[in-house]
Amino acid sequence: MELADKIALYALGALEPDEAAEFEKLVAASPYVQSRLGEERALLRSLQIAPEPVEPSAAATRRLMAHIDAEITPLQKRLDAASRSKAAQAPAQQSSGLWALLRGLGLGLAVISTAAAAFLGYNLVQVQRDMSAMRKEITDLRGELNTTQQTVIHKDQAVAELERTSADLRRQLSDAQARINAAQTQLAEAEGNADKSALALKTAQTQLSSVQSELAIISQPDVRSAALPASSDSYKQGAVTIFYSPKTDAALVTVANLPPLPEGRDYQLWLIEGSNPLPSVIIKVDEKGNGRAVVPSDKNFVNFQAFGVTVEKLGGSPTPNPEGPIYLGKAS
Amino acid sequence: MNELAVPLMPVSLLRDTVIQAVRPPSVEAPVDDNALLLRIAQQDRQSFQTLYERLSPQALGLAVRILDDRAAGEDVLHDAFVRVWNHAEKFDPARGSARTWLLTIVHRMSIDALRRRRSKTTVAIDAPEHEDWDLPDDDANTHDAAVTNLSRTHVLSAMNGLPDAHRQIIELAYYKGMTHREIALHLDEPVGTVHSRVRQSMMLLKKVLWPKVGDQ
Repeated sequence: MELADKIALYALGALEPDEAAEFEKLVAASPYVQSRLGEERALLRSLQIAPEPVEPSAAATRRLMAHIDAEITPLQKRLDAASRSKAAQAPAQQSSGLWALLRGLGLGLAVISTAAAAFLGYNLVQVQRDMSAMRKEITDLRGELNTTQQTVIHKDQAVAELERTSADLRRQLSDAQARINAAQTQLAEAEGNADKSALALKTAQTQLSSVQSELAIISQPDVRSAALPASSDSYKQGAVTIFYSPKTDAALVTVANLPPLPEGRDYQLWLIEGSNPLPSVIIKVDEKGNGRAVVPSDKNFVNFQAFGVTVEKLGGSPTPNPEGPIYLGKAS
Repeated sequence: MNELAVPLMPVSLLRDTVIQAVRPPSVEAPVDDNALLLRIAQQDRQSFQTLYERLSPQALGLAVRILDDRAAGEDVLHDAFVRVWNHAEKFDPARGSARTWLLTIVHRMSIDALRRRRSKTTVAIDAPEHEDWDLPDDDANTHDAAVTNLSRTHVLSAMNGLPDAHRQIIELAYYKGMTHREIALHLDEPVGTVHSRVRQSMMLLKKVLWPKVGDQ
């Protein structure tokens, strides 16, 4: 960067801080640079008056004057008061009268210098005493001002601290509320899950109970089984077996690969005593035609001569009214 | 002999007389700005108010031009005049006019406020007191006299006479407190271009505002 550039940029205040510090050393060492800088600065000062003047607001003026009044010394106030008092007494001729008086006083002093000097000396001492008292008063007032300022600062700090604390507490409260909401949501979910679990448990217990009943039947040492063949080759892929024990009054019927049921139909088991078919359980099957059911009975199964499975209306029929496949077999 | 028969004055009257004697007559021609500042150094509130009434519009105009904010400008104006009140004894009429001194203070304080606002970093609240007056500037008085006689119209005309790109750089530096690197970034121009335009602008301004010195 050329020296002329540095001078112009420094005068504009446009050097970087480190560059400005370096340049100031050069200014201090070079009268030539000082002169050039003074010239550039003076030129740039003309830009101070380029902006449109703006009249200060009355409030700004009042604030400034109040500040100045607070700073003005008590002595000056007295001088101003004395000045105003004299002006009120003789507003028009005060100046000329005063000077005439001073001229007269000067002549008088020439003659009675000793007496006047005594008076002036006395008054000087008085003024000095006043000034001394005023200085003390100023010192005291400044002390009070400092104390007040410190108090204000401390109060401001305390208010700021309270505001910070309040903001922290509000934040903590908000966090706590959010945590409570989250916990409530989790609790509701957990309750929902508990309900589901209870239902699942109940279902599992039912299934377990059913399986236990089924096991109780098929685990009998004298368990018998009877296969019920299909009445037609069209349905022979289906298998129906009934397990029973002479010692119990219950049986288990299992079915596999039964043909799909029409809408509104169930498979129903028939217990045939002699030639009389007694209605028994409905056998629910899955989509593959598999299923099983425990068969309760008032009578021992050895009393039945045969068993049958037919397709009946939904929920079963009191007497056989078969549609489609029929599986029928003798007891073993 | 009559003139010699001045009666002895009461002490209080004599004191008032002395006070009045050391104060200027109340009926007088308008006091110039420099004299007002010298009186302000003696804590003369009336002189302060007079100086404020004279110079505050120009000072506030400068602050508002820099800060683009009237309220912030009035804050700077307040601080600047408080500085004038407290440091009037530092004013040296041999080195420049009262108006230049005040406007220099306002300019510095406004730029500091602007940079503080821009950077959000801690900067000394007061403008540097040494600025301008304490730096060696032997020719200040001579040059300042030339500046003092300029009118606002004259200065505006000189600024408007600059090419747009040149005027923009001077304004960004002087009224927005940007450094030459910030200006280069802001305008997306090489730093060297900024330097040359500053130099050319100074020469053009000098030629228009300050023809005699500029010709030297």
